[in-house]
Amino acid sequence: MSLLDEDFIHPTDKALTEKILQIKPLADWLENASELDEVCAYFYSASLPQIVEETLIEMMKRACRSFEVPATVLYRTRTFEYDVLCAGFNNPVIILPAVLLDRNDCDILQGRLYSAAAAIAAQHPKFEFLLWAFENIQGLPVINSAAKAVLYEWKRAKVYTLDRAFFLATGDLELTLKNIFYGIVPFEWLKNFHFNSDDNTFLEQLERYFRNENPAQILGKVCGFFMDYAWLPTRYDEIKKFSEQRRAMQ
Amino acid sequence: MKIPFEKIYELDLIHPLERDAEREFKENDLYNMLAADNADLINSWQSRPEAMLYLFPVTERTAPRLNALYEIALKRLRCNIRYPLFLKQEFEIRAMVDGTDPDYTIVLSGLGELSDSEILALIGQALGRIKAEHAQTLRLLETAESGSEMIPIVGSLAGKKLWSSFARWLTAAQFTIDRAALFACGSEKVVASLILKQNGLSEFELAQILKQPVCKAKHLGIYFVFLMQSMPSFGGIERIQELHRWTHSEQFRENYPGFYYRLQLECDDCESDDSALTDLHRTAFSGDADTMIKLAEMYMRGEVLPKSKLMPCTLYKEASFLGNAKAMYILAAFLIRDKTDYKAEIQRLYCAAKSRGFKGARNKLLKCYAEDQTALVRKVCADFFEKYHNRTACKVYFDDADAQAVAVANAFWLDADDHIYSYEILFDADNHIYGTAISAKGVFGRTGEQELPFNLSWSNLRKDKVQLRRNTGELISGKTLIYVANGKLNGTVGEIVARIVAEL
Repeated sequence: MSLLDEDFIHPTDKALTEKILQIKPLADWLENASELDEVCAYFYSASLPQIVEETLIEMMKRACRSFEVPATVLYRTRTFEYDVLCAGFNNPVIILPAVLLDRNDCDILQGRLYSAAAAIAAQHPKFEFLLWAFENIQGLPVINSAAKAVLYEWKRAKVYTLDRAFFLATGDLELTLKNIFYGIVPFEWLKNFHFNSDDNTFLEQLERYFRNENPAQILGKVCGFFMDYAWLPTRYDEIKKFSEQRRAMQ
Repeated sequence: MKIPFEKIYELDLIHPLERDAEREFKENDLYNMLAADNADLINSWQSRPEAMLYLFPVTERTAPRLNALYEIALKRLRCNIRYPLFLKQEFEIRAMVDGTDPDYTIVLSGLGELSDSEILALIGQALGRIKAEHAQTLRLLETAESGSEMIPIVGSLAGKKLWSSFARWLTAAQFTIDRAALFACGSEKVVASLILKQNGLSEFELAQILKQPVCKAKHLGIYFVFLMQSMPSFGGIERIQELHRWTHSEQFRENYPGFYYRLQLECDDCESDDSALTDLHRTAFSGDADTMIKLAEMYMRGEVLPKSKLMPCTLYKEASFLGNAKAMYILAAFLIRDKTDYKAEIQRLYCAAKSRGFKGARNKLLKCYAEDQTALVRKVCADFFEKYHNRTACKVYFDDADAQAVAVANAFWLDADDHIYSYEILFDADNHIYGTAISAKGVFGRTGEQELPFNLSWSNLRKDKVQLRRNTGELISGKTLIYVANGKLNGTVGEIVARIVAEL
C-alpha cells in the first residue's frame, strides 16, 4: 500500500523546504550539485560494510515500496547513536547503526526504515547535504544569517515528518511514541512509560513542560531553539495531534 | 651475516595514483601560487612535543618493548634517522606525523587493543608518511580548506581541477601508507586487521570486505575532500581491497617473490592460480631443505618463477642453516661471486660441506686454507667475546634429549660423529639466539641466528694437544683442565670458551 499520497510531510517541513528553494544561492547549488551522487556512492561504499542479510534487505525494500522510492543500498556503521541515517543526494543510501541492529528490536527497526524511506521521498538527504556543505565549506556563495536560520529550523522540523511516516506505516501510536524516546531514554525506563494508556507517566512531564511553571522548564524550551533536533516534548505533542486528526477524519 | 643482493630491490612504497595526482597538482598554477604564498608557514612548521605534557616519550628505558618494535620498523623501511616517538593516551588508533623534514616527530595513540604486529604496522603507516613526504601536502591542504576562498570553485576550471587532484591524492596517499605498513609488519592480514580496527569494523569478516563492490567515481572534488576530513575513518573497505589487489599482482610477485608466496600461504580463504607453486613454497617455509634447493634452482632458471638473485641466496642460506651440504656449497659459490669480504664465511661453508661428504668441497677448502687463519680466528673470537659479555641470563632448554642433540648439531654444524660435551644457547641484548658448544673436535659457536656457525678446532686455540680422558671425562690440554663432564668446573660453557679465547 503506497503512503506517498498520505499527508506524511509535516506542514512546517514543507513550508521551510519551499522557503529554502526561494533563497537563490541555495536553489542554484541544489540544481548544480548532481555530481554528488557519484561522490557519495563512492564515499560510503569505500568506507562502510554493506549489509547483506536478506531479512534486513527485505525490510528496506518493503519500506521503499511504501513511499514509492527505489530500493537502495544498506550500510552498517559503528556509532553510539540509534538514528538511522540517509546519506547522499538524488540516490541516497541508508545507514543503520550497529547498536540498533544489535538490539534486534524488529518493530522499531522496520518503523525507522519506513521513516528513512519517507525521508528519501521528501528529499531530506539533499537538504541535509546542502546544510552540511554551507556549514563546512568556505568559498561557497555566502548566505546571510536569516537563510542559515531557515536551514537550522528545517533541520529541527524534519523529524516531525519522520515521526508521521513511522505512524502511518506502522499504524501503532504507542510504538511511534516509544520510537521518539528510543535510544535517548535508558531502555529499562522506557518499558515503564506506557504511552498510549491511562497509565502514561510521561504525560505529567509533558504538561509541566507546556505550562512553563518554573525556570528549568523555560530554560528547556529556550534551549530547544538552539538545538539541531526537535525537542522531545514537541515531537510527542505533534504526533499526538496528528493521530487525533487522522482519527477525526475517519 | 648479510647475503648478497639484499639491498637490490627498492621498496615500492609510493602508490602510482599518488604519483599521478601529485604530478597533476604540481602542474596547476593555482597550486603553485598557493604553495608560494604559504611556503614560510609550511616549511617552518615545527612540532614541540616536549611542550605537551600529555605526550609520553618512547625510549629503550621508558618503553623497551615498543622501542624494540620501532627499531624493527625503522630497519625494515630502511630509515636512516630515528625520529622521536611519543605515545598519547587516546582511544582512537592513530599514528600522527608532525614537523618538517628532517625534524619529524611521530605520535601513536590507541595502542591498547593492538597486538605487537599491529603496532608494527601502525608505526609503518607513520614512517610511510615520512618516506613519501606527505606532511607538506597535508599542511597545504589544511591551509586551503580553512581559507578556500583562495581557490574559487564556481566558474574556475583550475580550481575544480586542483580539488580533484587533491581528492585523488588523499585517497592514494592512504594506499601508500598501507604499503609501508605491510613492509613493516610483513603480513597482509595484520595490516587489514589494523585498518579494520582503525575504522571500527573489527568484527567483520575479511572475506566479506574483499567482496564488497566499491562504486568508483570519475569526478571527485572539494566535496569529497571535505567529506574525507569529516570522516577520518574513510575508505577502510577500499584500502583493504587495494592492498589485496597489489599483493596478488604480477608486479608484486616479480619484485618480491618470497614475500608474495608467504602472503599467499597466509591467505587461507583465497584462491590461488598457482597453487602448486604455493604448495612448494609452503613445504620450503616449513623447513624442508630439499624443497628449498629445488625452489632456489627454479628462481635461478626463471622459467616458472620470476628470475631472481635474492631468492636463491636466501633459500640456500636457510637450507645451509638446516645442515644441507649442497646448499652450503652453492651458497659459498654465491659469496665468492659477490666479491665482498666473505672469506671466513666461505671457509666455514666449505668446511661444513666437506664434513658432510659433499664432493668438490675438499678442493675448495684447500684453496681457502691457503689464506691466513690466525687473523680469521682472532676476529671470530673477538666477535664472540664481545657478544658473550652482553648476554642476558636466559638459556634455551630442550625437553627431549634426541631433539636436543639434533638441534645443537644443526645449530653449530657439528659432524654426525662428534660428541657434544656441553652447549649453551643464550639470548643477546636484541633477544636473538646465539651460543656455543664444546666437542672433542673443538669449540663451535654462533654469534647470531642469521650468522653462520664457526668452528675453532683445538689446534687453533691451544699449543698443547687437547685430549679427552675417557675414564674421567676430562678434556685437558697440556696441564690445563679445559672441561670436565660432571660439571665441577666453575663457570658456564660460554665462560670457559671466553677464558680460552682470552688466552689467544
